[in-house]
Amino acid sequence: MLLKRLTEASGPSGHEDEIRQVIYEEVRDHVDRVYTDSLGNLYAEKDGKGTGPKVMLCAHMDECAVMISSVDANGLLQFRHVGGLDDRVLLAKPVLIGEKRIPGVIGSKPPHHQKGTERSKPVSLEQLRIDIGASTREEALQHVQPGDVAVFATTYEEFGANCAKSKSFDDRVGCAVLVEMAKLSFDMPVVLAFTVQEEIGLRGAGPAAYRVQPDIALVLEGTLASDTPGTVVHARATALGQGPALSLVDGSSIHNRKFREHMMKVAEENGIPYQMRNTTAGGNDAGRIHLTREGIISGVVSVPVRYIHAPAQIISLGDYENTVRLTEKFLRSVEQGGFQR
Amino acid sequence: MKEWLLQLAETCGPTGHEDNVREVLRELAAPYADEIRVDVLGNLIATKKGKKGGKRLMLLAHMDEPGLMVNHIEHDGFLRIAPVGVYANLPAGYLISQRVEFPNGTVGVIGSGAVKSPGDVSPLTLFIDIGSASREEAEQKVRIGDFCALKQAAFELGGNKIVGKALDSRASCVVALEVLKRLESPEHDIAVVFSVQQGVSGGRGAKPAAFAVDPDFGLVLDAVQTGDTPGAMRSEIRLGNGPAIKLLDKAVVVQPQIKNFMIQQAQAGQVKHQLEVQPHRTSEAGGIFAHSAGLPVGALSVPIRYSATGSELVDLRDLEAAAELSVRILEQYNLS
Repeated sequence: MLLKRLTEASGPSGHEDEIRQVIYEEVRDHVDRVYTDSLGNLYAEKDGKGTGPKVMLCAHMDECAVMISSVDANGLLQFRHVGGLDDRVLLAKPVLIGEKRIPGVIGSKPPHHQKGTERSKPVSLEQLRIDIGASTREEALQHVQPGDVAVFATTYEEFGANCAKSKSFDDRVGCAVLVEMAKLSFDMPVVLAFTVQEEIGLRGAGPAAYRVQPDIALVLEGTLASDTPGTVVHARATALGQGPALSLVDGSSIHNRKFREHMMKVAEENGIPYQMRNTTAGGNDAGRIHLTREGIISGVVSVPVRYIHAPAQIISLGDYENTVRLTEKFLRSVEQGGFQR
Repeated sequence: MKEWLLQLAETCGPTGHEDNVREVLRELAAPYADEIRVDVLGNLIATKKGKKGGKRLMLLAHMDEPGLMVNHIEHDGFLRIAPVGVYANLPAGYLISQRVEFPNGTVGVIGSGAVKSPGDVSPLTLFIDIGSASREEAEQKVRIGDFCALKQAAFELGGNKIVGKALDSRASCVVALEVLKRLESPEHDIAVVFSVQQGVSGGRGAKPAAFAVDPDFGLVLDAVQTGDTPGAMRSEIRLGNGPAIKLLDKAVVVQPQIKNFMIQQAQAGQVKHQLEVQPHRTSEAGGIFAHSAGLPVGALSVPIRYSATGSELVDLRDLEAAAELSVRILEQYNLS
């Protein structure tokens, strides 16, 4: 199960080795060449017949995670964020540390010992520790070193009405779409760019676009679904199950209208549901790509993800499958000369 | 320059949707350029060939004005909006009762849902009324993702002064056009870039344009808020005192040899000028000087009052002086 393999692999920003290896194994038999660059971006190239514009599909491999910063005398581990995590989602979550996947649990002072004022406030990062069952600093250091990274120990499960739960759907769901595209054949050159370090400032994508020099770039993302209590309809980012989301504006791009209108047309012609990503918050690799070199025409299609940047994220498998379909149909439209800048 | 400014100030060109402004500028620049092209992002690049062995210089002015994006259309035809760029940082109440225009000519007025106190107005309470009674009717004119900008007439005030929206960008565009016109047979190759998306992330359009032009020197035109009105923020900049030679802003420190060269040129040509130290705003100069391989930059700012409002105010004599000084800088440029 592709989504299971991809989401359960570890890949904190800057530490994408494990997920990169998993993706490499998924794509290597389907493409003309696979290679990495000095940042760790993974490129899988399909030459096709060499006719038509060069298309780069982009998805980031990295995920929000934590890094061990120091070890207390009693063997508990202090840690810091890697990427945008909300402190309030961390307490009581199991994690896996480092390449050896050392299990740990994020803990804090028991509620029994908390004063009333403490209970009414979220537990801050400074009060949290990772417990790996060590009782002294020396014992802990035999298993874990400062600088080791940890991911949430969430497993992939399908449940409910065609939904799935796992960690890191942001952006393994995009990686999965790219892997599916690797298995197809196209006339034009297609480069699948699996990027590093998106969650800590879109750092991998700029060098990737600079190297690939595509005529067209499409970023596949996992984006926030905010069809949850406390949001008004007109400010919702996306809703689960309503189809792939097309970006309007976010913190890193004002998205190309011609690109979006073309996507809408492709979706409508093929009976694929879609929605607009209505919020202007967030940002993704397209923010770097579209400004690379002399400018690159770029677009973003996202799978809505509930509880994004949290240990247990939920997607609709229908949204995922429709995103795969939309991406393929988009590539077919480019193949047939249906989209030019 | 006055007629150009009045025309451009009334043209709708929100950030990322500068098409209308670009078409006007393309037409106005065409008689004076050897070549004109538009790049992927929508930057308009007009070039003029210099003499053999000359350098390649870039003059850059942005076309965009602050915009609002439609992100939802209510069943009864009201448009919900999300602020982009500078509006995202201004109190939302400022937008109530403003008239707005879309690039396709659709006009609307901004209202707000009832709130207990003025401070409770937020982008979420705002809406645009375009006179449509239903979503279906509204969708005939506006789609989700469309941008609009303020709609305001531009006019002359007192003597030599112009009031209008979008002067922050269009004043520089007019100066750049005038420079292009005056550089009949320039010493150096000149690329005049009318850039897009200055209003977001300190200037997005300028970067790919600078990469494409790859100049030996870039001169960036923009506007700077004055400090000469009652209770104004502390600033040395005064309307009518000429263009401000930028020394420093939040994104760039102009290199001393460039600063000195620009001041020398102003003095030699007896062009009225002032000096700009603006630690609170970023600029396209900052966006391009460290982009790609790096690029020496200088910048001139047209003094402006009431920046980012529907009634910005500039002095045409400042524009005239900015054009004159820009021509001198681009003609005499001899730094290596």
